[in-house]
Amino acid sequence: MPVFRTYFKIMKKQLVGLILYGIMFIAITLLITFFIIRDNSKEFTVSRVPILLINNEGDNEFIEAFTSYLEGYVEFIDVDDSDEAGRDALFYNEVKYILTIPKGFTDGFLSGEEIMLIKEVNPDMTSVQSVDSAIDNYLNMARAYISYNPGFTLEELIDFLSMNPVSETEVIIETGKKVSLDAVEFDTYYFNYLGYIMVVCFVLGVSTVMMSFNGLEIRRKQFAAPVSSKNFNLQLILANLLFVLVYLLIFIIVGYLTNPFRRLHLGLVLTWINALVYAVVVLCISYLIGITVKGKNAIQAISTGLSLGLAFLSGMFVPQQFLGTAVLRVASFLPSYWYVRANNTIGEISNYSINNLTPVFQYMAIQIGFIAVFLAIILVVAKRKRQEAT
Amino acid sequence: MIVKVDGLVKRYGRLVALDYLNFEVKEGEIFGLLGPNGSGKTTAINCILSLLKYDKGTIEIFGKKMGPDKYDIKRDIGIIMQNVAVFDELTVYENIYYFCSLYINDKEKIKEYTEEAISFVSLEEYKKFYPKKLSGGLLRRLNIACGIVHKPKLIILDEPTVAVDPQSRNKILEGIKLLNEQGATVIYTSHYMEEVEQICDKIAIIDKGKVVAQGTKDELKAMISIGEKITIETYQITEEQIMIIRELPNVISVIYDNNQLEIKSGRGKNNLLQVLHYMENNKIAFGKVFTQLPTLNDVFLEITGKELRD
Repeated sequence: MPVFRTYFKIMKKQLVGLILYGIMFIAITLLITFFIIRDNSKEFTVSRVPILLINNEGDNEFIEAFTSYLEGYVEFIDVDDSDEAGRDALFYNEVKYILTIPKGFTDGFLSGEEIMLIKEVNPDMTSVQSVDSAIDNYLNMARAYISYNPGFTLEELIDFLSMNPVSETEVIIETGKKVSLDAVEFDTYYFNYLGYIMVVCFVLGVSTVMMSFNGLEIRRKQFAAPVSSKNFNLQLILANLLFVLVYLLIFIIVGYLTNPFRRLHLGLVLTWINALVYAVVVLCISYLIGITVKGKNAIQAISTGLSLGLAFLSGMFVPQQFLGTAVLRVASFLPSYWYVRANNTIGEISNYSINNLTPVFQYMAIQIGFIAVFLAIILVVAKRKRQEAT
Repeated sequence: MIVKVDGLVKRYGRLVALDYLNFEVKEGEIFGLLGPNGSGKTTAINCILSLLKYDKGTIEIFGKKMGPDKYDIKRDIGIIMQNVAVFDELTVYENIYYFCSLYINDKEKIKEYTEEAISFVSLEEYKKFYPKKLSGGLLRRLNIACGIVHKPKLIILDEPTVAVDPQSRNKILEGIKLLNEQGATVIYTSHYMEEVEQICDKIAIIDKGKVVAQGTKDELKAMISIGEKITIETYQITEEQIMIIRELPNVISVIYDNNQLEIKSGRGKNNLLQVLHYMENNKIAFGKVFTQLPTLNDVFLEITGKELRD
């Protein structure tokens, strides 16, 4: 198996880089995951959203009661009294919400007219949802009181609204009882980040070796040697698979040992299988890069660009729920998106029923679909390369 | 017969790269394929090695029909390409070892042959060097070592001395002669006629995919009318005098350029003497005088009407 052995001799030259990336990955991953888990599990504080209130209605009892209710959820920020100043404050994130009460709002609202408050927010800000929810709660409750008690005076309505139990919610966090959940959380974060490091290391390792074997003159010399193409390719495929398996196995073991809440469960095994499927996807991408790209500097650049691009688009660094819909739509054309989605879904499962597991297997199947596509492209490119060499 | 190429035709679309090419290489020969760039030498080599499909003709090596899956034939062929084909990530030793292991399975034998190949190309001091640390000449020697390490019976060298310094070139040519003396049959392609003249026993001159002449170097030179080339340095000669020299017996052509009078004459005695007598009698002062036998370039020029390096 000379080709197989030589593959690893060449790979040895990349070993220092691969080990360094591995150590950096483990250190950063452990640091981040511990911080995230600690943040999530120990404490809860109500965050007040800074908002700018533009009151065109003027002061009256209803507006005063409404704004004093909102103070429980928001922090009113004073800004110069102009539209432009308000928008600047919104742009620079000094306020996250501009709420405008239009003239005639109180009378209109109390008489049951469809009159709207006006809001301005920056797109994709999750924190504004709590403000929307607080405003909706108050006004819906007021609307309900008015509909069912037409004889209510304004004072009575304000009194009832101030007694409304929804204005206070007790939050209880049970610390110390979430060991199993933390174990799953750790695995999800760890394996999501692993998706990034796999791209960096596989492109760096596999592509570099494949590029060496696919140099035009080297290939011609190999075709002239008494080794069939089938045998030659088989040795390369075996070497590639062994490299990927060993690399993944090391990270699976390290991930398991460094997980402070380690517990072997079906979810973890599914995460491993998902990582294996994704590793084969990345192997195919790396193989393709190795046989198409010319120059080792280009491989370095592709390794960095591709790994960061896939990681940011697919929610390896930033959770998918915080990504915009347009980003997610683009990301759904990438295998890394389905890898992360499968990991996240596994992390959310509490009961391993067929119904709950079906989406996980679907996401893995999509990744296998990507493998098939990449293999088809590899076959076409390899055939063209062979024609070029002869 | 080690190699027999018969009626080989290779077309790239409308371009005919090989046009019924024929030649035979006998055991123990150094056979030169000489031709300008684009004449079809490398295409012929690629067809012989089954790296390229051809449209017509047959190729036999060691008396058997050659094909892409004829591994028993390939096992006895060594190939040295024009461009260096080695792994940058492997040392000199590892590169030679790898290419040997493509042909031989026995580990001990591979090690032994690798050492022998290293010493053959005098790279003992560079065993642990990576190719990037080697000079152009040393790289060529490594390339040769990778091609001959498995002790092939037939060695094919496709322009192995392109862009090589004279010292390394001589070393390479001496090495090829030595391999031949050790029993290998060699096919050597080049557009450098001096090299082909220096080492080849038999030469096929190729142009536009055809063998235009074939034989030993003396046989090839005997095919043409020029027997001698005389060059005389002179600063004062008239057009009339040149015309008279042109009319002397056995003179084929006379060119006066850059104070050099170049006379090509046919085979015969006293060609130089008669010219010098004429110049002396007519008081034409002259400086350096030298004569040359015809070169392969003259052969090529006379047969094809163009220079070998066009």
